Amino acid sequence: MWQALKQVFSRTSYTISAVVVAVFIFSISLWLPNLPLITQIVTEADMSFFGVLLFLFTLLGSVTTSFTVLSASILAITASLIGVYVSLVMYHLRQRGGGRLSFGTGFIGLLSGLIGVECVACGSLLLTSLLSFGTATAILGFLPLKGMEFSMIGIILLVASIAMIAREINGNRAGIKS
Amino acid sequence: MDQPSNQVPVPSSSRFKSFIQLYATPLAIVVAGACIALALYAKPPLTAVDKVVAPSIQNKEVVAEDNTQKLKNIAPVTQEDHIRGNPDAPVKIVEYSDTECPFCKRFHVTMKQVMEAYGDSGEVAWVYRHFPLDQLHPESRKQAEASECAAELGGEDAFWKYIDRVYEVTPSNNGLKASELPKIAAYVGLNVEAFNACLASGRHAKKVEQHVQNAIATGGSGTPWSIVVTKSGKTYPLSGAQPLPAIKQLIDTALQE
Repeated sequence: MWQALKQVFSRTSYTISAVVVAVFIFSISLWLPNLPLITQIVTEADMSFFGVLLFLFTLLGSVTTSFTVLSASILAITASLIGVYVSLVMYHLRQRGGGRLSFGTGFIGLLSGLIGVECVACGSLLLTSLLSFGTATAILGFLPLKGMEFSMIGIILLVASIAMIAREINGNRAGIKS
Repeated sequence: MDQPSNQVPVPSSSRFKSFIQLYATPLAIVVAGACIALALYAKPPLTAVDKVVAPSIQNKEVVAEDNTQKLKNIAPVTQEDHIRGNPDAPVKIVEYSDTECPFCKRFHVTMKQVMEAYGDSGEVAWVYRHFPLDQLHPESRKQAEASECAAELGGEDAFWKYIDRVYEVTPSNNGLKASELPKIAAYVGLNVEAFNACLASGRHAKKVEQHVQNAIATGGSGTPWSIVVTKSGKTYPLSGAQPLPAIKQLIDTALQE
């Protein structure tokens, strides 16, 4: 796995794309709970473009107020892993010149990670939207880590997906050599 | 006559595997996007648990409303509310809060800072409503009732002193037990005997429940849940314990209207 990672991230463009995706996911996760507010600010409020950008930037500060140290760390790890994963997928697709990939856990990992990220506050946006308020809070109350389990499963699945795709990249390289 | 084929027939299982391999990525992205979009914009009908939690929002009209429509369900701010600052302020921040939620504890400090900045000029009023999440924090509903008892016995000043003290001393996540509530009452200068009698009677349970129902009806799905109401009646939803600079910017925008 490390060999494939080294191979991919020795190229600056893939490192940059991983960072961009990670920052994007991290930011989106912080903005997601206030998506209706952001939409309203953009469409209705008398706020300049610079003002909107500043508002989005200030909302990122919620990582210090709406998250515990553990949940913020999990969010950062999940976002970073998604960045790495997307870069590996891009590399692999270019390497093979087409869309042939054998992974399914990537999607589950991605989704689980996103749900988990939203679970770290008191109540989960995605979970409450999917299951409705009463059921979601009942499930969160029942879980020993109050929803952090989803984040952890997400991280495990993302690592598994990265390992799988790294193995495919290594396999391809071996195939090219032979 | 059939043409002779030089191709080896592909078993259907291999074709399926090949199809999955080929389309796994785009399918996964599309399905993930659809799931998230669905989750954000469409809520399923209420479940049996909801019928216990939110009996007043069982009608289809409320469920079908989008986020903006839900905000219109906010109960008007009246003298029955707990208001810190100018009751006629052009901007009111209605907060639905859970005393045992750690993020509400942080947000309480932020709201105090908001009032330090905007309260003296009378530009902003802070309206406090209860939103105990029973499944997560079973202790908080009684704490909400206790704060109502404080209001009954000592007026608005006692309510705010009581609620401030609860947030100050609670370690959050059910850390503040019911046995501490009379001690807080004594700390803020209330008659403890009368306070205990009020709390035992449960006479403020209905008011707390009304606040919970209104929080859910307005779209609240976690705590703290706040709604910024402008002079013209326009509403902005604010989810979570957002930082002071973001709230200040939102208030400044609301004040411009």
